[in-house]
Amino acid sequence: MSYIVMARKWRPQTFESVVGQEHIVRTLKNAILANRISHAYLFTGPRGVGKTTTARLLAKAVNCISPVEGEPCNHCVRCEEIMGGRVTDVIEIDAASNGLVDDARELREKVRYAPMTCRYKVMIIDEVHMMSNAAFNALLKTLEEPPAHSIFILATTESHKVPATIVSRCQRFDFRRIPAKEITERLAVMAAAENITIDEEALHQVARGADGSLRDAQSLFDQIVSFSGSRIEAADVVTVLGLVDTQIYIDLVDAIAERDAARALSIINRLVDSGADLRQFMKDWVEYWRSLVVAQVMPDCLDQVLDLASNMLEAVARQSRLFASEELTSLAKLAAATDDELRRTQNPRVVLELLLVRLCAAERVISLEFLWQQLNALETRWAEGPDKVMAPPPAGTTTAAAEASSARNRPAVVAEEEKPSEEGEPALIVDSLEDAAPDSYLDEVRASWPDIMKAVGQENRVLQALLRDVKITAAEEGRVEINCTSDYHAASLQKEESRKVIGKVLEKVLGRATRIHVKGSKQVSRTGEAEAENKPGREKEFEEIAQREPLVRKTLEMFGGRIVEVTSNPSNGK
Amino acid sequence: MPFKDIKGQTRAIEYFKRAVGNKRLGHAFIFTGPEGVGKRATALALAQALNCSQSAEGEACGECPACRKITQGGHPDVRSIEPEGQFLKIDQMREQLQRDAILKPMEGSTKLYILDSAERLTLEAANSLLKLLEEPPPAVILVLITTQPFALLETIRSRCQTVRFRPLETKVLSSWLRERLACPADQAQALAMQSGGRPAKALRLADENTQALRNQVIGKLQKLGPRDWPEAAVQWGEHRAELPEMLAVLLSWFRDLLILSSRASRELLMNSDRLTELEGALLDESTESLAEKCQAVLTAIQQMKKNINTQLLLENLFMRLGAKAGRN
Repeated sequence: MSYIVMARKWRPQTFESVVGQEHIVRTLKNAILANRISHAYLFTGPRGVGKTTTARLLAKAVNCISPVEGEPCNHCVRCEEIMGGRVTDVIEIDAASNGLVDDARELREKVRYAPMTCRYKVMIIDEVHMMSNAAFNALLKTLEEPPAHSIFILATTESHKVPATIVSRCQRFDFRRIPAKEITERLAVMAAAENITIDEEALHQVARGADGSLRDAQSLFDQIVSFSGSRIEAADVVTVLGLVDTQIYIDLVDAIAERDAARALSIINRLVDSGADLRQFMKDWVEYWRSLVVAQVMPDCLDQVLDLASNMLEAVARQSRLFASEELTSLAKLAAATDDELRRTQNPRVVLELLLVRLCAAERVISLEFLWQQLNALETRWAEGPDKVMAPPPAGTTTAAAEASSARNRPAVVAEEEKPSEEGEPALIVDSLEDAAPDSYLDEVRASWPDIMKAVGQENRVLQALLRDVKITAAEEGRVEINCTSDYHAASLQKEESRKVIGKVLEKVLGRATRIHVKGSKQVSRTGEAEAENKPGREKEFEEIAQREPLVRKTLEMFGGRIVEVTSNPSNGK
Repeated sequence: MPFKDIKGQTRAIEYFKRAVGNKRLGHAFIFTGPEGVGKRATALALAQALNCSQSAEGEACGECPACRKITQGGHPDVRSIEPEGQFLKIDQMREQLQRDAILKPMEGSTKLYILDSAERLTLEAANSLLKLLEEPPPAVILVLITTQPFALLETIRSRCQTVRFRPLETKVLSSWLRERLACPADQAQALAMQSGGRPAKALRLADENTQALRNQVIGKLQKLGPRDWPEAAVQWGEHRAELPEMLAVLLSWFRDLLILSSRASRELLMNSDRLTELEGALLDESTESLAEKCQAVLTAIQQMKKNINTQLLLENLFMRLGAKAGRN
């Protein structure tokens, strides 16, 4: 009754059908054709990529009576004997069970005798990394100069455990991980031959779960077939493998982008209730973050770099635009670090929940590029005329204290380029004074204010700094009234010498003698909103953005300060 | 006990029934899942289904001599290999498994080997299984049972079909608990959440002593003023034996505060029966500081496993837990 699993049933019987190892297959076939067969080979590579299979093929090919272009014919007496395991000349040894020095000595004895029926005596030593050191050393002389009729093939997943003296006596072949695409193709062939219908998404999932190993893929496939019979859909794969519906990755990232910790936590709760393996989930989710990072770096050739089904590709492309690049990498890093922690912990659920709360609470990073775009947009509008720049003050700038108490109340996430005109758009309040009636002279003074500042700076730097935070409240020929937010600043400005310097500058810039009236603070704003109003556009823009930064907000709240100056720093994008 | 008597693992059992019914059963399996959810019982039920003389549609009768022998552990073709001391050793593999596996079944039709606690295979023993797992003799089935599949070699995992055993759904478990313990709904819900869906664990938690300990811990947490934390560390240090459970309660407490502070659904709480206390404690805590405290407890639990000075560990932990409270 015994059922033969697919990995065994579909073990390749010709070099042609070995998947994903062209570089090795071709070398070996040419060696056979040219009759330049080495006496010792070392096959290394990850699990389930074809080492043992290739070793057996090689044993068959060198002994085949009528090989076809280096391939074994699979019909001659030798081939059939070898496939049936009835030959004493092809010896397969499990070094993990027989890896002691005595086993090596016995092997050495066996090699001495000429083959009975075959041309070559082939020794396949599998899992060779488990041989003891003494056993390895006992083989050194034999491996270097074996009898002419013998071939050694050593196979292992851990080549670093094989002593260098052994490696140097062998031709080494590194088997590579098989790309998911080739696994998918192979599975499709198997499915067709076994009369199984399987949809593309399901194949993808199996291939991805296999992580570069064809045997893993075949084991998974087997498992699914025995569960679902001859019709397989993506949902079956999810069920059998305990895989998490890929939609969950997407939903979670969306929740994070929207800083909705509550939703993220309830998704995790669903995940736990569905009995998913949280470690497995995390492994896959980290992979998804990686896809997002990749998508952000090379958005144009996603389908070539990422092994994902088409609906996933769309989601990746969309979500990679939800984050600034610095932000995405820091979030992905946080997730990857937790993957590590999850492996060790006894409380995977709490660790995962903690991660999500943190991801949702992570400081919003604004990329320099984004700032730049906003600046450009502003400049364009500025050029169109000051009216266009005026917009209502930002909604939702309620008291900072209330906001900082909960991560949920953080400013909503702005999806960069996508909706530049919505809530995230920094509103400019250039002129929100009570006497906002058109006042051409006032405007004129305001327009030339940067020049005035500059000229003052040439005279006196301290004065320039003091003037930076003032607001021009009124101006008429010969008289300019400014309002200081800080009484201390006002006092300094009211000093005779200060007024003299300013007066001089005003005369120079405005073209006539002008007196300056300094008023003290009437409405001291702790968050620095009011004094921001009179800043030149660019600076104000910066400040608006800075104000929405949770970190800045918190600093302000903690120290009761206000924003003095915002400069752009190329290194961190703020 | 045949498949039908195993509770809760419908998916795994359905899988085996179908595989046996379709004659598409693989030869090597890894059973993973938390402690006490029926992995071993399922392996034995599988052995019965394969060897029962009257099995139908992948289900054993449970009555015939073969079935009874398997239940009692006396069937010559169903072998269980358990760690000798700390580990599953290579000599065990050679003697109890490899030498035995090449022989034909004695009474039944299929030999089934159960390797319990497979994560405790030594490196040598694990490697010696590779060839057997890949191409076992006909009519041999190997089942590796483990709570930590990732602790197994990749080369082993690649050769086996992994079958997952899941914890019970919270709803299912809590209604079962309510019936079984005749306790109020919120307590059943809290127990189900705390046990992570494991019935046996939930019952252990429901035990009077454990509950008393939990009440004590939570009660103490209530009373702690900003200055009391260092002293609490000293007090806790005196209960060394109960420390793991106390830390578990502590973790669930801060985790719940974090959940509340994130405004997630109340259903997610592990201490839902203590809602008022939780809300009281939430008052002056920000999400960030709660996240840090959770992390501190997690780290402490992790460190407890290492041979570390408990008193220092507790002081360090409690200083961090008391940090914010002190500032306000």
